[in-house]
Amino acid sequence: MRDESSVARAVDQACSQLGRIDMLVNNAGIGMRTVNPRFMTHAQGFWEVPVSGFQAVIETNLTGYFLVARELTPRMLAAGAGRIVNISVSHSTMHRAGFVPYGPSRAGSEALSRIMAADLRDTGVTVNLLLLAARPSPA
Amino acid sequence: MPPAARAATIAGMSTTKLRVLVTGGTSGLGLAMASA
Repeated sequence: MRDESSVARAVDQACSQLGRIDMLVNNAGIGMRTVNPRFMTHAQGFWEVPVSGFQAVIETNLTGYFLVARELTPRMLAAGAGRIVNISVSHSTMHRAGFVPYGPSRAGSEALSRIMAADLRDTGVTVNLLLLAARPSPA
Repeated sequence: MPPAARAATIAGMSTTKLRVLVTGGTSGLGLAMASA
């Protein structure tokens, strides 16, 4: 998801196999565990986050969404229709203490989604953002 | 409801013969194709 040429090949292959793509669901991502395995019980400050870990999360969760959408959108525009759904998380998770870099990566995906939608206005290609949040199971 | 079908509903699409490209999965990386 982080490599432009790899994403291009994957999208080419998907389009070849399916004929066309009606809808993209940008869902791939990695979480806080990659930089802090105990993030739920032992929050760490942003200054303690390894740079490589920060970059990996941003490149996967944000750049990855951009790369796949960038590759697929021209095909949807040519077809005159398409749907893109970007999966993100609740605002409370985006802004939670100890959640660098996951929170910023998802905040970035929200901003990206809103701009994508604005850029694609009146084209037949729409962009929706799904902010997931945990909730108690029904009794 | 399968995730691809749920996403299609959110986007206001019929799930009949829809060609959906879904990235990620249990591993969090890679590409998967699903017909909702």
